[in-house]
Amino acid sequence: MVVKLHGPGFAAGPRRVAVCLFEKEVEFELINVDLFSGEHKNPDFLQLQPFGLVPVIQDGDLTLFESRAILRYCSEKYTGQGTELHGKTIEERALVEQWLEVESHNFNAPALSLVFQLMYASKLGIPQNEEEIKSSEEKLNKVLDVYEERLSKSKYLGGDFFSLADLTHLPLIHYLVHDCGKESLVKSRQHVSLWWEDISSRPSWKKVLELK
Amino acid sequence: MGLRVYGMPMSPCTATVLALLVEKGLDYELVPVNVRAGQHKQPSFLALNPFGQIPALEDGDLQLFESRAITKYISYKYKDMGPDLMRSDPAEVAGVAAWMEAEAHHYHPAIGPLVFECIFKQMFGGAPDEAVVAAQAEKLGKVLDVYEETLSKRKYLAGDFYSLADLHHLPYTHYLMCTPHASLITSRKHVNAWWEDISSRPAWQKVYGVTRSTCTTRVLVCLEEKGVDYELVPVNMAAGAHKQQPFLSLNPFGQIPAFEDGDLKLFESRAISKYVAHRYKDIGTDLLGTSPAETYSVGVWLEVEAYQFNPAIQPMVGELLVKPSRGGTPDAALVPAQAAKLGKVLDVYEEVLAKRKYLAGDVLSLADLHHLPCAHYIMLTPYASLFASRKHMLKTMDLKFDSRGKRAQS
Repeated sequence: MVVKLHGPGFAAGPRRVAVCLFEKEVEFELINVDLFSGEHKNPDFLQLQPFGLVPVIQDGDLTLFESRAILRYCSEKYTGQGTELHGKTIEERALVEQWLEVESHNFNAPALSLVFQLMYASKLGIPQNEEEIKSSEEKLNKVLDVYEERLSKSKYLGGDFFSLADLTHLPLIHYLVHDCGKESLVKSRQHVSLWWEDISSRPSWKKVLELK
Repeated sequence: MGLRVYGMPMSPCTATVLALLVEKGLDYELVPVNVRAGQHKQPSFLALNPFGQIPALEDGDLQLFESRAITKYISYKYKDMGPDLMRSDPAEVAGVAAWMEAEAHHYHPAIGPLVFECIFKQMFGGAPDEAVVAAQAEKLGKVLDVYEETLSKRKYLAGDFYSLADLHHLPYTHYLMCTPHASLITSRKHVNAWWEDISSRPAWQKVYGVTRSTCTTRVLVCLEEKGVDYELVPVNMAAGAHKQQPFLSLNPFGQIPAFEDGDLKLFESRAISKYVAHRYKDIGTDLLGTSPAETYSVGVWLEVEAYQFNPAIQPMVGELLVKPSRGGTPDAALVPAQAAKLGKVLDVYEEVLAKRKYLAGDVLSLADLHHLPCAHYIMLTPYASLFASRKHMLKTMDLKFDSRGKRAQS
């Protein structure tokens, strides 16, 4: 039975899940959710995701939401096929989890804010908040300084293997580099730059960018 | 072993006894008394304290009540264990006794009702009486003027040594620091320095101090639930230790908590608790769900806590509890806005908890525990009603836990 992934193919959360499904070689069907018409707030959708957010997956009887929970689920359930994404020992796993948390709590908020301001604000008729942009960029720079240090000692964030901790960064960094004109955040840092080149040229990510 | 304390750690009078026991390194068992359910007025408790108040103490055959008598007894009986907080030199002993009387007859009558109005009253459904608050704040100010004068001449109340007299001030002052009236302390130079000093003692940090860091508590709750032994190493944030070496080598983001297990070093509270839950899966409660489907559900609700619950509630904890303790004022626009967001999230939780016992299924999991620290703090504020008004939430989120992080299960 094929996994169903609900969400538009361009949104960060669904992309985060899609790249993981590709890495794990799990067949899935992308079912569009029209955010612009408010489909995610319809009663039918709220049955799937009570907070009215994307993505959601259905795998047989199991319905799951929160992209990062789905990442962990995929990685565990489909262990033994595709790429191993959470390390082999409890200790390796702990480090992967640590950098997943870093992405969630240190990286995500300023990155999302910057993406919203630079990519979406004008489309939604909202004036850009210059102060917010400046402050988010400052925060993000501080975070990426720590990444630079980490990646100067470790090939990937969680250790010497590609893992969920790296994968989770793909959607927002892609927007920042390609759609927000903030390439310099990455390019100005030698190790972050090499890491980004590496993870964004993985076939799984290229497939995600082709999804409609 | 002999020592049993009957009470609740959130109760300042119980906390006083715990502070001393921890200071002296004494083993004890804490027996919860469910005040909300009126257990303190039941015959079985009245046998320990006929006035029906917590705490009470049992040491072998001895039964005692009144926190100030209990601390004196512990100080005498266990004089040679840990620091001697009652002293031996007769003049010093008398000095300590004098300041313990001052605490009982001047400090406590001023601060007790103030803390009751501002903090405890709305846990039982009431609202602060502003007239009482103003009057008590004024009284406390006058008492603190005397303390300011005394502490300008010596380091601690009874002399240049920490004593039982100083310790007795800890719990109520801790609560005062959670209100806008913290300024009564922070505006007095020597009182403030004294407070900074006594409240950063490791023993006090173990009883109440660490709960100010909700992220640290998140890890402690997990460790305590599983009964895994640990050592808590305080990080002096007031001195900026978290932004310097050696702490930065534990967490390059300069945030607490950090964690070591043998050679493994970890940071990010949610990664740490997950590691503990996996690594020590077979010890104590299994917090990861009892079936694969439950495990994945736990994963979902861990994320919901991180992305829906925490962003709504964390700023409220910051504004209402942390900021005042540093002399600031809560942002009057931000707090209600956050409360509205939190209300919407809790509506979803209420629906989920109407259909099953815990967030991820019918068994307690890490997902439930992660909510406790911030929820616990908000229960100390007028916004307690966000939880208290949702009956399934209140029943499930057993918000009674001691300040070590151990859930009080009565």
